[in-house]
This record gives sequence, C-alpha cells and structure tokens, in this order.
Amino acid sequence: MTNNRVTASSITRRTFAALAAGVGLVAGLGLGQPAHAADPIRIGELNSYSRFAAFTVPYRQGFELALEEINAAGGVDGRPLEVISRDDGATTGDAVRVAEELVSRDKVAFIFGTFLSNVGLAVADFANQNKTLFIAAEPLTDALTMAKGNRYTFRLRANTWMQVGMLVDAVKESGAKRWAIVAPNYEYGQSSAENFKQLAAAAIPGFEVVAEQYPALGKIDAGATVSALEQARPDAIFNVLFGGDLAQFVREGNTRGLFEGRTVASLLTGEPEWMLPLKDEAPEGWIVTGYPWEQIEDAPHKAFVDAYQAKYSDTPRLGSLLGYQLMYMIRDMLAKAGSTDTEAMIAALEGLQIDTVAGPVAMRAADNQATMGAWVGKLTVHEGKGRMVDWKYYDGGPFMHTEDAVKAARQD
Amino acid sequence: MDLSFLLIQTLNGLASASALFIAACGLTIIFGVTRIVNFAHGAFYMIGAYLGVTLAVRFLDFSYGAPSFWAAIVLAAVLTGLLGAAMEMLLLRRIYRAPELFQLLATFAVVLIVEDAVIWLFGAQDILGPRAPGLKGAVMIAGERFPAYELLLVAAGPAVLAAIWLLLNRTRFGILVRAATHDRQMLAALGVNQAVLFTATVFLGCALAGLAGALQVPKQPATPHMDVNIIAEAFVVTVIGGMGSVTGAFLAAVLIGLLQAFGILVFPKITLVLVFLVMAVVLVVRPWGLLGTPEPEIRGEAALLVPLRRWDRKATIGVAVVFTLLALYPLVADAFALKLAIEAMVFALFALSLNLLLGHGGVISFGHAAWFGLGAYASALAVRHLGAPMELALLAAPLGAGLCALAAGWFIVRLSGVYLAMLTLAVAQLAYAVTFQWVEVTGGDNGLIGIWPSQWASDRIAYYYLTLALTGIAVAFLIRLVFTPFGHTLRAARDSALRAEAIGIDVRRQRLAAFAIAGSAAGLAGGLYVFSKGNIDPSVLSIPTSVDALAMALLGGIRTVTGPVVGAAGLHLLKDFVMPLTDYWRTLLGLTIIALVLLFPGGIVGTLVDFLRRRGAGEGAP
Amino acid sequence: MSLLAVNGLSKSFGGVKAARDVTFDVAAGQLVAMIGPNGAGKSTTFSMVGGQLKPDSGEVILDGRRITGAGPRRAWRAGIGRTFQVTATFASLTVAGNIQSALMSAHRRLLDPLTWAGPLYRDEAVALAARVGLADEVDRPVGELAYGDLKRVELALALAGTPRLLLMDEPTAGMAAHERVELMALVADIARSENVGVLFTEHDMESVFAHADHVLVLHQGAIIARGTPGEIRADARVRAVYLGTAA
Repeated sequence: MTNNRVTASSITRRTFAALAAGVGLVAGLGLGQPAHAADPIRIGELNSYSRFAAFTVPYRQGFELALEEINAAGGVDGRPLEVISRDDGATTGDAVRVAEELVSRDKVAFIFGTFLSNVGLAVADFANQNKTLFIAAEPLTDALTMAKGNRYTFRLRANTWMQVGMLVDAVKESGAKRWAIVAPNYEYGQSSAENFKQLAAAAIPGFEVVAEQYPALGKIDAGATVSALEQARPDAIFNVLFGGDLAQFVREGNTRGLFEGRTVASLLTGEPEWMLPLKDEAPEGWIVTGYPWEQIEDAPHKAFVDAYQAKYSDTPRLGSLLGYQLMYMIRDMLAKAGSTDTEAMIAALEGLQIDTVAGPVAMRAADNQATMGAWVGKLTVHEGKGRMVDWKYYDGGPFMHTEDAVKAARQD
Repeated sequence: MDLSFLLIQTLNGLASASALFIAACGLTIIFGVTRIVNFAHGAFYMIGAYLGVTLAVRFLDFSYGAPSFWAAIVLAAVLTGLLGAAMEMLLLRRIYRAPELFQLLATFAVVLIVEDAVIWLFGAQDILGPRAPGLKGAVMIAGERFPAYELLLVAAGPAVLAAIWLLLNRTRFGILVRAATHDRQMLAALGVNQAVLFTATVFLGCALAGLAGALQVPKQPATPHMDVNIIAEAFVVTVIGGMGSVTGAFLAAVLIGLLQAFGILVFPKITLVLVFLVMAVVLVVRPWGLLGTPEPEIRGEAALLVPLRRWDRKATIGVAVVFTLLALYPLVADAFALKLAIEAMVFALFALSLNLLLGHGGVISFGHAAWFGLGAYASALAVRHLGAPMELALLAAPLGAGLCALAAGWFIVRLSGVYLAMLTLAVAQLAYAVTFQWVEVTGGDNGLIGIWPSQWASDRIAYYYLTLALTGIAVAFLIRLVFTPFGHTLRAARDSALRAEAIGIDVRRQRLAAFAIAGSAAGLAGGLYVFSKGNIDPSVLSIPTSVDALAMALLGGIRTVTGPVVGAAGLHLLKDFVMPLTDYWRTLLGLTIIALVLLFPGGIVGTLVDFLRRRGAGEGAP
Repeated sequence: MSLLAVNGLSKSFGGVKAARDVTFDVAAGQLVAMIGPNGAGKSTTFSMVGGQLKPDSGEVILDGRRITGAGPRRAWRAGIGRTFQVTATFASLTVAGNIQSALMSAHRRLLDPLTWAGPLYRDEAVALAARVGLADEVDRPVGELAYGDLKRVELALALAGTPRLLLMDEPTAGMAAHERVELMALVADIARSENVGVLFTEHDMESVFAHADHVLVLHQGAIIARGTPGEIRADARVRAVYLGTAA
C-alpha cells in the first residue's frame, strides 16, 4: 500500500513537472517574436481524431501531404509551414480550450479544422471573440456562414444548402412529386430536410411531402422507419441518413422493396467515407452527392490521387481531398497576405481565387463561403463496390445563398 | 392505417424489442447478483458485434452456409463473455470492498479503453457484416414483404427469455443467482463461493451482451459508437422492467419497441425522448419498475459509513491557504493557465454540489449534468432572449437550475436506491432532449454562441477573480453546510432512514432541500462555465457530463468534505494533460482512472485521511 | 383516561395475519410488557403504534388524539419515542451526534443551513448520554460501539424527544445480565419520575416479571392473556404456548 502510494504521488509530481516545464517552454518561445526568414509559420489545427477517426484521419493525411509538398517547394516566401494538430475532444468545451491553447500558448498565426457543426460554431465564436482567423474544415451547417457567421470565420467545403441545391437540380426532372423525407434527428438532418422542402418546392411543380421520419442519430429503428415511409406510398425519397443508420436503412429498404420504382435522392452517400462500408450493398440507382475520385481524369487530380496512394497505401476519401485543398488554400492566402497579421490574412482570403486539383474555387467575401462544388451522380455497384456513374461536377457558385439572403441572415 | 400495416408495424416493434431485450437482460442479471451498475455493458455489446463480423466473415469464407454463420455468432458471444469474466476477475473483484459506485467508475474506465481498442484493432471505418445465409430475403405477410431475419429476431427474444428462465429455475447456478438477487443473507447462509458465482454471472451477462451485438451483424455495421447508442436504452429497459427481473426486462422491451414503432407515426421527432419519457412515467407510477422488488441497493451502499472528520482550525487554515494561493495565481500564470484554473474551479463546484447528494445525502444521482446544463442555459437564454447583462444572467443560473431541481426533486425523492438514480438520469435526458429539440429557443444541437462576460469581466484575470469569488463563496457555503443542523441530519437520514423518521426527521424533505441546494450550486457552476467558453450546446447536459461529475466526486472521495474539489481539479488537469499526447488519449485516461480506483479505494482524499488516521497522525486537514 | 389506547388493530401480510384485533391500554407512568414467541406479532404491533406500519383496521390513540397510520414522524411529534429490535442508529455519527440529531429535530432546526451543528444541543446530548450510561463514549462513532451500547444509544434517541410513551422493542437484547438490570431500572425510574408510559417487549422473563406493571401475551397475532405478572405467571394457557417452550 505504501509503495503504491509513493508510485502514485510521483506520477502526479511528474505530471505537474511536465506541465510546468511546458509552461516555461512555451513562455520562452513566445518571446522570440521577430521572425527570421527561415522561421516556420505556425498554424494551429484541431479536429475530432479520437472520436471520428474514420473521417478526420484521411483529412489529416490530406493536409499533411499538401504540407509536405508545399514545404518541399520552399514554403511561403521561404518560410516553411508548421501545423500543430490537436484533438478537439469532439465537444465544444474541449475544442474551445484547445483552440485557446493553440493561440495563446503555441502562438499560432491562425487555426483551422473541426468536424462537428456545433464544435465548428463554438470555435468560430471563439475566433470572433479572440480576433483570430478560423477556417472550418468539415462542418456543413449553413449557420457557420449565415446566421452565426462572423468575419473571422471562413469555410471551403460546400455547405448543406449548396449540396441540397445540387441534388435537387439533379432530380427535378425525374417527375417525382410525392416525396418522403428521412433524416437523422439533429441539426444537420433537420436543416437539410428544411432546405430540401424549400428548394424542391421552388424547382418541382406540384411538389409535396407525404411522410417525414427523424430517427435518432445512431439509433434508427430501421424496420419501423421503412414501414412508416412505405405506408405513405411516395414517388420518391430524400435521404439524409448516413453511417450505420444508412446501412440499416438500405438493408431493410432493399429487403422490403421500399426503393423499387422510386427515385431516391441522398446526401453524402457517394462520398467514399460513407460508401465504402456499404460494399456491394451500395444502393443502386440512388442520386447522390459524392466523390468519384477514381474516375476523375484531370491531370492535377490524378497527381494528387497518385501521391496520396503512394504515401498512405490507401484510397483517398473526400476528407483527404478537402484537407489537401485546404492546405493549398492556406498557402495561397499566406502568399497573398504577405504576413501572418490577421487582418491581412482576412483581406487576402476575401475574394481569393484558388486553383484546386478539382478546379477553380473562389472565396466569396459576403459570407466567407467558398464556391467549392460537389460531384452528383448515380450510384451503382461495380466489382463489389459502390461507384458513381453519370456524375457531373457542380460548381458551387450558382448554388450559394443569394447575397440578399446572406445580408438578411448575418449579424455582422 | 389498414390492418396489414398494423400487423407489420407490430412485428417491426417486436423485432426491435427482442434486440433490446437481449442487449438489456445481461445487465439486469449482473445487477441482480453483484449489484454492479455495469456501465461497460454497451462496450461488450460492441465487442460482440465486432467479433461477430470478424468471425462470420472468416467462417463463411471457409464454408458458406448457415452453420458457419451461427457458429460465428455463438463463438462471438462466448468470447465476449470471457472478456467480461476477465474484467470481473482482474478489476471489479479488487474493489468489491470499496465504497459504493466504485465499480461504476471502473466500468466507465473500461468503456474508454474498449472504445479506443476497437478502433485500434478493427479500424475506424464501419464494418458491414454478411447477412445470415438462408435468411436474406423476405416473407410475404399480409401482402407486405417482411425480412426473414427480422422474423427470426421476433422469435429470438422469447427464446432467450425461455432459456434464461430454464437456467435460473432448473440449475443450481440459477438457484444461486436467484438467491443472490432476492436474499443476500440466504446466499451467505448457503456457504456459496461468492467469487465464483460473481465471475460466472458477469460471464453470463457479458456473453448475452455479446450475443445481442453479434445478432446485429446482419442488420447494421459494427461501428465504434454503438456502445453509447445502446447503453442508455439498455439501462432504461432494465429499470422499467425492475432491476434484476429478466421477465420485467422483456416486458419493458416489448413496451418500448411497440411504443417506438407506433409513436414515430404520430410524432416523427419523438425518437430522442421516447424511452426516457416512458421510464420517467413508469417510475413515477411504479417506483420499482414493472416487476421489480423494493429498493435493491447499489452494491455496498450501506458499507463504510465512515465518520466525517471534524472541522477544526487546521482545516480552516488549509482552506485559507488554498484560497490565498489561488488569489495569487494570476501573478505567475498566463492566460491559458488561468482558463484551465477557471474550468477547474467550475468543475470543483459542480463535483462538490453532486457530493452533497452522493456523499452526504446518500442519494445517487446519475443526472447531475441536468442542473449544470440548465444553469448554463438559464444564463445563456437570459443573455440571448432577454438581453440580460452577465450579472443578471449569472443570478438566473442558480435560480433556474435550483427551481428545476426542486420541481424534479419532488418526484425523485419519492424513490430510493438505483431507481432514484435512474429517474435522475431520465430527468437529465429529458432536459437534454428539450435543449436539443427546442431549436427556436435553444438553438438546438448547434447551441447558442456569443455568451461572453460583461466588459469589466471580459479580461481573463477579471473573470478569473469573479469565478474565484463566486465558486469560493459557493464552495465555502457547501462545505459549511455539511456541518450545520441541515447537513448533520441529512447524513443521519443517509445512515438510517428508519431511525431518522422515528425521531421526526422528514427524510424526503431533507433530500429535496439537498436537491434544490445541489441543483442551485451546480447551476451556478454552469453559469460560470458558459461565460468562460462563450457558448453552450446540449452536450453539456448529456450523460458524459454526469459521469464526469461522478468520476470527480468518487476519485476525490465522497465520504470526505473536500475530496470532490481535489478530484475535479485533478481529473480536469489530467484530461488536458493527456489529450495532446496521443489520439488514444481516452485509453490513457481510462487506465489512469483504473489505477486511481485501485490505489485509492476511498478516493484520493478519503484514502489519505484514512491513512493519516491509522498512523495516529489524525489531525490533518479533512 | 389512559395515555395510549390501542383498539382492534389488525394487519395482514399477503394472507398471513400478523396482528388480529389487538386491543390494550397503557397509562402514564405504567410499564406494560408484551411477550410472546417469535412471530407472535409483537414487532408488527409496535410498528403500528410507532407509525412505521399502517394497520388494516383499528386505531391508535395517544392522549386522546388519533394517530392511526399517521406515520412515524407524527407519532414522534405526538410523544412516542421508539427503539428497534434490530438497532437503527446513525453509524457515521458519534454518540453525541446521534442524540443531537434527535434534539435538532425536537427543536425543529432540521433545515437550519447556518448554525454550527457541533456545539448545538451538545450539553443536553452529553447529559442524555450520561443518563443512559454512555458518559465515556460520547465522542465515539456509534459504528464502533458494542451491541449493548447501541441499545443505550437507541434509548437516548427515544428519550431526546421528551416522549410521553416509550416504545421499546427488546431494549436489553445483547446486554450482559447486570447491564440489563441496570437499564431496566433506569427505564422504570424514568417512567415513575417523569410519568412516562412504557410499552416494551422482552425475551428475558426475569426483566418482565421484575419491572412490568402489566403483561400482555401475544400468540399468532392475538392477545391471549393479560394481567399482572403474577396472574400471567399463573396462567395455564400462557405456560402452554409460551413459557413452556421458551423457558
């Protein structure tokens, strides 16, 4: 017992010693402000690596690949980029604390990352309060660039409104009028459903919603949900489910014939993150947003895919592409800004034109939302795997919120 | 709604009921015999699913057919059971003599480790398993297609129920299990080797969890989050049925399965709250669940009612020294260190408020996050919707949370033991669901942002002193409260409700007052928290927050006055320390908790005080 | 008028009649013993008088006020102090702390969140402890006490409310012979000097016959005999059902 106690207290002592050493180290580093040409530009990054590894790890691999390339090419103005990457704990409390640590201890020039919408919004608000630049990586919620947007927060990825808009464009000619909606019971699912109702009502004459189901995220009662939808005899289904919920829904729906003779429009299902686990059960004929990386023939994109596969021996996910593009956007921003002053970086980002491996993208100044698009196509099964066919890349520009809507929604 | 649809939807409901029952019945058996609230039950369910997928793929590759598939499922269940038995022998057995709920904390640490281990072993990506050979298609029922496998599940629930009934009623093991569940004295009288019985029971319970997980293989992919998705529901089924009652769990699962299947037709968005709503109603009407017996105590609750150290001059000096050091801290600390310290103080108040119930009231709360979160929301809503300044909003936090705690407490204190604990959980989940779904007011799961302090307190140092002052006052009040007639008689009521009532102490009233006070204090902590991070979202009311509070109080020592403060500060700093070290920081956190649980069975402060007392140096700070 | 009047109390547990039509009186200053074999219904009757159990029928009247089924707190406030067969004390509190709890309750200070509890009513508590023979144990946690001493704590707790009626379920169980005599003498003294009625059960017949003014004999839930110790000793039926087997 006595021995054990000694061990425990020495562990604690070591913990605090380490903490204290960390404090001293960071304080020491923080003083050396005046930048030499070869000093790295420090950038903070935070994401849910522990909680949502399936999505965040490919993204991290993507930006690390780009980082390597950028630094091999001499960095920005001769200075290499250095990314300090941290876990955000997947909760707002942890994320804000980590963000603060990156900014105040690690003295990073700005931060990027996050996966969950609520975490992204919390960090965005922190950035606003702290006058720090934040570039959101994966959160999809419209609020981030609309009602809760702020001038310090930018986003590259197409938001929910834009993705739903593209999907509606792809299915409006199908002739389906009676729609059923199934979406997970949280903000992303609900706002996607609302966006769909609004956009489809405008694009499809005679559009009506005949059934709605909102299973709890991760807890779908698939049999009951499928029966409830079937009961309404819709012409078509708009799906927002993903992950384990989607797999169950697809299996139940296929066995019960829910999808036969019906148009199904589905968000994200074509992204490798979500499609790969479905294997040969990817639902054929669904119209989906996604990322047909293996079929994109443009040279820059092929180069990215080859480099990614060579480095990680894994196929890219959408997150990989996103991380890769994001890091290049950061490079372009820093080059244009010419300094790591927050105002200079914001000025550089607003209206920034980037040539990404997926095509040109512009950052709109009105809402700090980039025009990055998405691929929309039809799912099929090919060699035991899901595959998008008849796909087309939709540029994000035409599908963004109107500038009037932005003005009405944003409070800054 | 035609008749055939009614029939199909009933079958849908029964199929989910079966799955739910099999997942929950192991939990109820383990609780019945060992009185352990096995928080890791969901983790074993997840292990069963991953083993099931892995084995089924291998076996089917080797020889495609139903026998291979079912062999894989059974083997997955048995292996899961063995892992459970290992947990019992290596971990739980060592802490049976520790104060109440330490097993809960240990199983919580197991959850953290298993979640990481699953990702490490099987990868982060979901794994969709093969469908059951021979049961891939559908059967025509009343003109509708119904999946054959679902039909099998409909039958599986009653089959497992029957098998367990036979096991419990026709074998010596079963007789011992029932004896342990209903009359522990009798068990002692029978001269049973308790260690073997406990191990066997945990094996059985975990094997059933594994079976439930493996049976999901043809339905849903194995994912690293399936444990959290099942554990709350499994607890609910167990409680509605009556803790320890297998038949009760079956009835409860059927009730929930059917209510869910038909409820979503009328209220599609009810999916979030339905189970907790049902549990709250059942517990208010039937305090011991459908088929439960009165007041099964959580393991060891009555044990170790150690006397509280008397508050003396040294204790006062100790507190004054700590307070002075904290007051001087901004002289040496940078902004981030101050932020950490602010959060540590906030959680210290949160944990201490829980301990008024847990340690001094003997009232186990699994839902203390409710008051913390409601306080935070009271503040945030006052700012957002009433334009209140921070000062008023901070007043709204303890008031709002206290009033809610008083109202909910009125129902809660009517129960006792684990049922009371589960009603607190239900209340917290209902509060969570309200903040989650009342989007217009609360901002839904995106939460509310921009809740920053008033100008004068927006400087980090100013807010630090504000937090120090308010938590200081509240902590001092809570510590002081323990030594007042209220605290004294609250502890008396904890030690013996029978005696308390016989000398005119209204046990429920004491506990209700404790609820209101603890709720207010937690609410104040929540209010301070929201202004320290600028935003609020429903996750602050979720189960992990309640578990954090429990862990902080237990690690510090619930039979001490100041232990929870130490536990809270320690755990928070520890988490901040391990998070940057590795993606697998949850494993580190879990291992640390296990180490602490094994090294400090009375909590850190509790064990320390005990040690000093035994050395005869007895005058140290409490 | 008698202090306690019990009229026709009955109670069944799932078809087993634990008490049937139990009727008796206790006068102020009087010691009434209730005897009978295990399972005769003594504790059930005590619990109905003390408020822990609600009778199926019948009534309990203390000093002219009906307290039937009013619960233990009302019974206590009405003037009933009770000890339990299996001791129920506050294990983590000291002897003084236990008694202070009862005094705080008696003075209605239960929700007082400000006063220091340590010194509150301590002198009274110490005096009461001394009175039941626990002067040397005042600051020991009762969890550490011997069983006989726990019985004394119980008595002190019962006395702390300045009761009119003491309800004592086997008050001397677990005590050494000389302690029993001492304790019963103390109880008798309290009854006489403070005019308190005492209803007690006891297995030790010597104590019963030495101290009781009146004896009730319970058998299978019903009173089968009552009278002075002398009369009971002579009662043939009592000897048959009880003394014959127990003695």
